[in-house]
Amino acid sequence: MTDFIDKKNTTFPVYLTIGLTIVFFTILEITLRNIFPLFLGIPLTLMSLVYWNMALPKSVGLFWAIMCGFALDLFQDIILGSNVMIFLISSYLIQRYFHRLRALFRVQQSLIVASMILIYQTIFLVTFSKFSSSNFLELTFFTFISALIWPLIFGVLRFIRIRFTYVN
Amino acid sequence: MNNKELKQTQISQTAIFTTGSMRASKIFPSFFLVTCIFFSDFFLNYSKDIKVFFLNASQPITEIPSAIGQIYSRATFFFSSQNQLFVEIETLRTEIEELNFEILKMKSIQNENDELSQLLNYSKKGKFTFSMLGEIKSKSFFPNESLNIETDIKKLNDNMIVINRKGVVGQIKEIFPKSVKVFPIYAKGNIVPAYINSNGLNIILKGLGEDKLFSIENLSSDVDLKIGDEIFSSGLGGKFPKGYLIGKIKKISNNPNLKFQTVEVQSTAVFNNGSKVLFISP
Repeated sequence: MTDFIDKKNTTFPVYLTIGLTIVFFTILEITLRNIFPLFLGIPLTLMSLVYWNMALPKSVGLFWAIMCGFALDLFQDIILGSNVMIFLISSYLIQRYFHRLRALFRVQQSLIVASMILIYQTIFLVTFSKFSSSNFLELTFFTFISALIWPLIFGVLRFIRIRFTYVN
Repeated sequence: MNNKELKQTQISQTAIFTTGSMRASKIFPSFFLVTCIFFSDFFLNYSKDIKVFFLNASQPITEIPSAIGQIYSRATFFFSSQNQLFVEIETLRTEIEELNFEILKMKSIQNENDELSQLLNYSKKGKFTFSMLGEIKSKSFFPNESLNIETDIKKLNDNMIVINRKGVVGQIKEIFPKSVKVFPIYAKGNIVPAYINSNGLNIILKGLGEDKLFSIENLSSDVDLKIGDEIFSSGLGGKFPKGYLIGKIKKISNNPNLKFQTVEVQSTAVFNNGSKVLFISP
């Protein structure tokens, strides 16, 4: 039904482009967490997943969400599957409502992404009993930063999508 | 045009209830699988092993940037003036090592010369009827303590005494075609005529073989001795040269009910010292 929206690609495989960008953001997230050794960070992987689920829902399967989730679990030394479950639920919900999300203004999208990140990080803090005043500050700070950089990520990924996955 | 817009509107209206590839029927099995993995890791904690495996597997890739950095720094270093200095330093370091080795050799030669000089002094002062140098080739340690010494065996006989720069150390026990075997002076059963320096009493020392000890044979209980008294070779019997320190009294067991007292003498001979020895006949 959404075939006419997800235009066929002949320049670069869509699936590979999505995978490469998600892997890139995962590596970037891990690198940033290495540089700033805090409990929380900017969830770039989740944000890129949100974008691709919203932009090309038919092309994003479970595979990338699961793989990147496991990679983050391994890096963060947390129980295997913690990130994956959140990524799966997020992907499902975004794909469920992607038409509505697409129609929103960028600021509104930022607010929704920030809310998702707030929930995502809170789940981690509660699950791993790390809820302290300093972590609360981290949570607020990274939620705010994530909302701010969402338009940037959106723009970069949109440029990549148009540049590499569309036939003009 | 109108038809196209109409079609898009219809699709938009219905599209709210569509999903991408991820329908509920698809996500439930995946979610169930991930939950199973979550709980199995919670109880079995195998994620650390997986992490270690991946770290090991990806090690060559993760080391590429540092390897490139090293190659680059080496390449730039090779063409720099620092490299010349580095090469010069390395050359000087090698020269220093060679000189150190020379110093060690010279020290060794000096030590050998000192040893020979002392042995020659012994030879001159001792006025021995015969003396000859020998070089230690091998050493055996307790319980069969001995020295294997290379020398001209034609002029040697079984009764000769061996001294090194520390004093009398032993005597010839066996003569082989190219070398001699020397046992220590304190070898078990070895008899050394001696005198106690404090009272001039002539005694017979008998080697015990263990712990460089002698015992004094048939020493009367009346003789007054002190621990630490020095004992010198008396030269009686003509086998050992006179006036060489043999040992010091270590232990005295004097029982008034017995006729003789038991005395242990600690040998002062340093059997394994140096590399040269002097064979002498008093």
